[in-house]
Amino acid sequence: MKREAFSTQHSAVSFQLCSILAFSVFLVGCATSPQGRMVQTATAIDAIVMPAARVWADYVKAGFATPKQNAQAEKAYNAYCEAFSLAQQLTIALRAGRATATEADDASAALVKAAENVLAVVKVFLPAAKQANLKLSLTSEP
Amino acid sequence: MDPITQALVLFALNETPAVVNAAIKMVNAITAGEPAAAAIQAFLAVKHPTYQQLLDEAR
Repeated sequence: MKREAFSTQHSAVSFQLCSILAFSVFLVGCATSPQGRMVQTATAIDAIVMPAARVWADYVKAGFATPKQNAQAEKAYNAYCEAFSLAQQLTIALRAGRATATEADDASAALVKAAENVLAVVKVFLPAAKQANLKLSLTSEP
Repeated sequence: MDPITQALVLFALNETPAVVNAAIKMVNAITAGEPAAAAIQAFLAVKHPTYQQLLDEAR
């Protein structure tokens, strides 16, 4: 399969990513408590990152990724998993009164940043126009 | 619908049964007073495969 064919085949994924992101922004906006915001941010962000990571793995397996891209993706993915784990633990700490709303917001921001880093690396499987849309959506994240 | 329920619905819509089951186990463990850190790690082991596992599972 050629790279262009792979991109066309997976253009539905980019639509899904943008749709889920828009919905996630809506949900995060609805949350009133720091814990609610935290859970919704982590859930919604993960619903974007993991499908993208799985398509990226297909892209690597098809032989389209360079060793440098693969190394960058691995580093970004590991950092994302670490940020997600911290966010989960902080959510529990927040519920138990062992963390502050500021700490929760900082962890949410760090998680969004880690997710952006993953998508910045792995989005090469998307057509150029879809890449621009994804970037635009991410920068509008509150 | 409260924010946590909204998040869980969104979560369930986008996850495999194995991950949803792992999430339920995590919530039950924490609710039962088991150590949260261990419950979270067990969940994340299912939720987030390693990078190599992602590549191994690729089509």
